[in-house]
Amino acid sequence: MNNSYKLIEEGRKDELWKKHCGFLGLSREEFKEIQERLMREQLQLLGGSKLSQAIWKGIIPSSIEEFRRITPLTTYADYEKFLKDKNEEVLPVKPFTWARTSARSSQDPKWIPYTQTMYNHLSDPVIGAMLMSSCSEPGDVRLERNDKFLMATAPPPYASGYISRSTKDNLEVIFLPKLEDGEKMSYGERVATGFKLAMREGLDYFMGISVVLARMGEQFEQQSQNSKPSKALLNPVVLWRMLKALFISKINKRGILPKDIWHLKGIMSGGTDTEIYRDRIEHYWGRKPLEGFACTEAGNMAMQAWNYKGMIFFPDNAFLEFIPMVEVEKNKADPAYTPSTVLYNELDLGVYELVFSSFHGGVLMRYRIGDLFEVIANEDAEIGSGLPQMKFFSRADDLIDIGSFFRLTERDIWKTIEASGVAYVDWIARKEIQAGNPVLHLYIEPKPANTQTAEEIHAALDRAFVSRFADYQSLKDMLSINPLLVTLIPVGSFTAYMQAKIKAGADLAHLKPPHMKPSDAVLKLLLSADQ
Amino acid sequence: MHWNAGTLISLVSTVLYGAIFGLVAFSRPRNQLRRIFALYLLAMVLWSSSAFLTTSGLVNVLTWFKIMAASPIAMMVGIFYFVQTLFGLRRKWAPLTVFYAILAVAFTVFSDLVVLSASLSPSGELHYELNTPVIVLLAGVGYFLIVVSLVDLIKGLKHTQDANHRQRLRYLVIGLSITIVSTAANFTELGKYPIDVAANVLTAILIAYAILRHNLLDIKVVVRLGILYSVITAILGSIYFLVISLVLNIFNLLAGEELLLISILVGALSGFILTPLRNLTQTSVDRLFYREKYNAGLMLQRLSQTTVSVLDLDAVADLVLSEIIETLHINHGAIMVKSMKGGYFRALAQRGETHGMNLAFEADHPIVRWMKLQNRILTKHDLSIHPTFKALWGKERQDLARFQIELFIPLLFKGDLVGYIVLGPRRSGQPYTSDDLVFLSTLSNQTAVTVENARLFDELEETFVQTVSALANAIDIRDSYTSSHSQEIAGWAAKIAEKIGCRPDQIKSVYWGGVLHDIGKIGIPDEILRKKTSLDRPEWDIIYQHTRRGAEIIAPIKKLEAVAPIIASSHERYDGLGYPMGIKGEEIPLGARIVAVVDSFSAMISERPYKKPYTVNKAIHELKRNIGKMYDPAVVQAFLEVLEIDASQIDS
Repeated sequence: MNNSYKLIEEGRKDELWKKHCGFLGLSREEFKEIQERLMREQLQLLGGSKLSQAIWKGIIPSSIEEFRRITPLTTYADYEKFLKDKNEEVLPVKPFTWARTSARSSQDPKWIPYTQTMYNHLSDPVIGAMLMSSCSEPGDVRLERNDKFLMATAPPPYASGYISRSTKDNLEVIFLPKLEDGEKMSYGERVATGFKLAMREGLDYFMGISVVLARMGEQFEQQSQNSKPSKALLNPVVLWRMLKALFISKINKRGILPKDIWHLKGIMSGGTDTEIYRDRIEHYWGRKPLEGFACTEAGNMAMQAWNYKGMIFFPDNAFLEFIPMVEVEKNKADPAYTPSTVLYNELDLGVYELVFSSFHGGVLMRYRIGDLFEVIANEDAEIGSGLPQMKFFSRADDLIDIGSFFRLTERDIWKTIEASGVAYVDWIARKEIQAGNPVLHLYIEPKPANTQTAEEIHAALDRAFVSRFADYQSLKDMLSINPLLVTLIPVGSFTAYMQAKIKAGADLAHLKPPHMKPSDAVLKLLLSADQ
Repeated sequence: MHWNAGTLISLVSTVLYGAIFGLVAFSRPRNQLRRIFALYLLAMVLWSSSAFLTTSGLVNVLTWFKIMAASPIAMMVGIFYFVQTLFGLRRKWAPLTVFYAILAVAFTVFSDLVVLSASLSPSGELHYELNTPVIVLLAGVGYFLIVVSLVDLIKGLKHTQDANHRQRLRYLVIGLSITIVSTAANFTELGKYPIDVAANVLTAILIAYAILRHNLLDIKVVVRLGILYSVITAILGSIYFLVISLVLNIFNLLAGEELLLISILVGALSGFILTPLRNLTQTSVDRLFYREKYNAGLMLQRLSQTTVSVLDLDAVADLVLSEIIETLHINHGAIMVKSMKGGYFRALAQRGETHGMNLAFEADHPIVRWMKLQNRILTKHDLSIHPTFKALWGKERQDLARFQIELFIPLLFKGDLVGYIVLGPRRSGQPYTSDDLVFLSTLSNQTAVTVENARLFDELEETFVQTVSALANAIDIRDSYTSSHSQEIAGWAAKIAEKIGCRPDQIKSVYWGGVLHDIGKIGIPDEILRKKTSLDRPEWDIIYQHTRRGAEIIAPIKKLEAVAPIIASSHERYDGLGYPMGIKGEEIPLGARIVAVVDSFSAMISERPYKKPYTVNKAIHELKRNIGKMYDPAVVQAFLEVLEIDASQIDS
């Protein structure tokens, strides 16, 4: 096995590219062959393990077709009794480690066993993303040894922590701060330390949630005008970096932005907010964030290419199946109905729910993770890929359906708020029934400097919805109702909510209220948090 | 202006380093490594040009001498940083070397404490005086850095498994060693000679070669053979021009018939002398830049001569594998060939430590498909790089690592993968070079044709063998008293052959001798073969012919050529009283002596129309009684061992 750092050291950049980004050039048929072969291996590995037998009820499928026929679509509940106590005896392969999901306070976390091979595979997509995020054309490798890498993600036993460790095993990059040190710090402390070190050492790659970069950029913009000299400037490297940044900012007749201080090679991010903050991040940091999709259950599953369009799934991560949206809806209406699935090579334009089965000795079989993806193109000639180009659509449970007229995802609402020009801190959205009619109820915390009245904000948002969604206007016309209700929540509510959650010991991923369909309890806490 | 050897060497060095600097500085993309290497080259340009300017007397000698003295310091720090970056080393004290470089260079150039004086004599000889303690102090640090760099390079050289990278590092190590040794000369009496600058020319040539031949710094420069030859011709043309000019000057001839005469004479002489020189240079260019083709041609010639006439598939595979293993000093390897039905590949020849190695892939295996599609050598590195191999199973990867498989060489014939060669590591542990791969690739093209021919021939022969075996079975069935007799005899015969210590191919022949020993009975009429009463003389005469007929039937099958004599002599007796030739003792082929024993034993323990079956004990007793008469004693003894019977007990 060639470790990627060896390829960089020996100047074998073409091979490095092929290793991590070569999958883009696979045809649908080649993709299918890889999937099927690894699934055949997986069937052998699963064999007669207690866990697989519990799912298969005593039958061992001899082919992939039989596997798809006899294996029911599963959720974590089907595995919970085996996995929650980390019972290794029931597993097909002895795990190398166990990863956990973040859990809401009312639930236990999901524990997922990672085999050695699964762990080893975690870094491949990260390196691929580093290459993609820093190139301008295929084969343009800018990743070098000792590049500085700030991973603003959670430590082990969260999956992102293992992804960092696996990356460190496979690549010689300098983590800011050192991985072992960073794992002992809180999230905020680690990010702050990372950027502090980046002042001295430089910064080449960032991986984490987009909002961190967007907020930092905003802070720079606001503070650079009146910032005071700090002790850090005594360091000649920091001083030189700041002088350069000052010079660039003066030439451009504006305040210092992060891109004046660091020349980032690449930014990698995941989540709905990546698309929302993409342009702002590019403005502040000089590069667009490359979007990827990862989950604890299967690690990194898909990423964008260097043209920042659709995401492409990796062929060797999990056996992929997709439930067409029509089938999802049938299943929603009748939970006893078993929806049919299509394979990755059979995808066409449309929205699908992801179903996957683990490879490399993992345990999940035909697992419904609850995420919807949209195939936005069947291929992308620009990057030379014949594979389906996909976009994260929504969590299956997060869709807000207004009177069966139009369906809104988190991204739809977020982009509309952005388009409205309303200066806001954060928001949540719920479907509520007002006077017998379904409405979209937006709870928005305006920025302290925002002087707009509630009516003005409602009008701005209404205009944005009208311009973005034809169905929204139709709904207004046909039902003679305004389907948008806006409630302004007091300034500081979101911060107060977060502090309350931190105090209650909540997981990192649940410090903020969910944007979509928050429960009554969450809403109540948010509305009362600042008191 | 003064011209001397030092000036000329410095000028050449400046031009060379200037050209390499241009190549590195303007190639894309500009990464950190290239930038640092460009700085090193810039220091070398400065060193060479300042040496040229100092010795030429065109400029202020003291100032340029100081620059010349300071340049090596910059060069040493440059090379140190280059090596640090190349290997990703992060020595904590490394940043201090920048301060050292800045201070040392500034101190040397702008103060009079390092270079005390420097001047040129009217004859152009350089005179200078250095502050030795200071220069030793300044240069000492630089030396330390360059030695550290050399050690790092050597470590990297030992560590890397990539052949191209090794080559690049090798040239850097040699170049750096030359620099260290040559600059040390400045501290001796030799310092007055431009040894260091001359050595720099050598280093420049090495670096240029590493860039052109081995893509040093990932710079890909395609140099056409024609351009290289043109350069040689231009240089030789210049030499020719200089010679004529020199002769004309010496003889002070300006015009007239003498000029023409001398020109023709000198031209002819130059032609005689320079032509061999040009040929030699062109051969050297071939070897330097196209070495793989040069060597491969020689090696393939030998193999093509030996394999062309061989049609036996096993022999071809054996021959090719042995040649490869021995020529390239490889630890182990195997040749796999497509099975008759085409569904999988089977091992045909194996050499070295291949115990337990199973690389008989199915036709739709990713490795097989890749080789068929790409038609190029698959290295173990490809397996972790090409997306197709993401389909490999964990166990398959483990096996490939356990058996240390380095190369898969496809044998493609008319677009069909007829087989592949699997090679382990070289005995020396060194990676395969690009020359090796080119050689193996060329060899595979040639071998594929031979293997396919042999494979088709083998298939044809196999069909023959199957047909003949079917006939033997038919005879067994026809001769109801000897049904299944041939297979039983063949099994015993092979075991005896193995017991006696025969080679695998001999055992195989003996086995087939057992299967087919009665094939000649095909020509015996049923009434004789199945007669229940004793045979008369004419009938016996017909029976006696069956061994010769049997040998004639299988004679055309090359694969069974060693079996025919066994069949022909399977009814000879050890004492020479057998048929058809009446030969005796060792004259009878060993296989035939073996078949004779087991055939008799089988007949004795079988029921015949004219006799009841013997007990095993009685049959053995009979065998022993006829030792030296009908049977070879050694064969009988081996047979008893095969039957695991204690002969002494039978006697008693």
